[in-house]
Amino acid sequence: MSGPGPRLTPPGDRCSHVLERLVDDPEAGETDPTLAAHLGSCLDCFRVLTELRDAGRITELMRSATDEVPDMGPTFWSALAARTVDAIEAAVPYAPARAAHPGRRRAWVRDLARRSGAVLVGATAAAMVIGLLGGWPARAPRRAAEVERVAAVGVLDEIGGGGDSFDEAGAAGDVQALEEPELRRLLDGLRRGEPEEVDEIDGWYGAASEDEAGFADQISGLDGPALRRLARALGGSTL
Amino acid sequence: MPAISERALSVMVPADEAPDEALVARAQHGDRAALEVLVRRHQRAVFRLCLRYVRDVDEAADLVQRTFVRAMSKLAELRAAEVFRPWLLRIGANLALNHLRDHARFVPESAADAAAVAPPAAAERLEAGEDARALRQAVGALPTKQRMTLELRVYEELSFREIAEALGTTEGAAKVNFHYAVRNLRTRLGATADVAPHKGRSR
Repeated sequence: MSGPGPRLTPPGDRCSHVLERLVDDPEAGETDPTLAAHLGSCLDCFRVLTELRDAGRITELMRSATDEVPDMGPTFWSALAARTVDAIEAAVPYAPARAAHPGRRRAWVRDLARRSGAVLVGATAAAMVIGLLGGWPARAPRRAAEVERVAAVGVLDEIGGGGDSFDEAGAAGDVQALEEPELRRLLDGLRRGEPEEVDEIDGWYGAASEDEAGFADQISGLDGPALRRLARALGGSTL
Repeated sequence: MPAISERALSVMVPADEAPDEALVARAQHGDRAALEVLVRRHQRAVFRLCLRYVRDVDEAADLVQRTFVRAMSKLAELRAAEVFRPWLLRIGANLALNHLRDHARFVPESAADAAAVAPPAAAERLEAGEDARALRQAVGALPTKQRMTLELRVYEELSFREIAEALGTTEGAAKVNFHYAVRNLRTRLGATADVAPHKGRSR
């Protein structure tokens, strides 16, 4: 800010304040007596004032020298906005892309719950029938996971008979909380555990049609607490 | 006054009328409508700014897109949502400058270009065009911060506080940069005012 020539007063805070004041309003040097007095005694500040008096002219020149922005038309702006939003969705993790269709995941979960619920209701019924008929033919002792599966079927029975006492809101929350990989892993395990029954039940309820043909394959072994959560959730919407 | 949740705000205030800070918050939570309003609201300013640098409509449009993508991906770095616009313009200016640096040879800005496009009989217009071109060149030759400060002030009419927020500096520093920019332009273009104190006033 300093230049050649004598300095009548040393620069200091006052000078910096003068600069800020003059940038805001170059005319303040004439309208503010205190400022005018300082400008009369400070060469640096007077130079700043002189320079900033050209700011208005330079501003006008810059605005007039700028090429007119071509009239792009509404189609251009709409297309650019759409393109930009799409690019953001593709690039930014939290962008609307994942939440733009919030019903998509819920629909998937509802659909899976509906079909799984039907299958599990059938599985429960089948288990009860098998129990009444005296059980399965002799086979190797059940592994721990299979014991858990039976316990889970018992849970289903409780749910089915629970009637009004069932917490549907809580069950719906459980369904929402289940992530797709977790749900698929559970169902896949069920499929491995009791494939014949699953296929049969699947057929009863018509779940294995067209694009849903692979659904039975997704049924996986029922295991522990996750199964109970699933069972409760499915019971809430179906049983 | 009780705080209003974003969800409530989104119901109460249509996106087109909501302030930037509300739209930014909603966009962060995946509100596509809010994001679209933000883009539509600011894309012209970003486009104008980028076009001044790159002087090509298609490249300016690409820079608009990149500016918004960059901004939304760096939203956590935004200190205050109410300065979203100047912050966005800063990103646009930086991207445009980078683009110029990377594609310098493709940006036409020379006296020969001016002569080529000017009507031969319009001497006055040519002179004015040359002046305008000289001014653009002088502005383009300013140090980056001075240029950004000057352009944000002149073209976008931002306050110095907004400029300071945009450039990540203080309001005082923004004013000093503006002053330096004006002084440099006077030197480059030839001042009309008397800048020598000993000639202008005797003290």
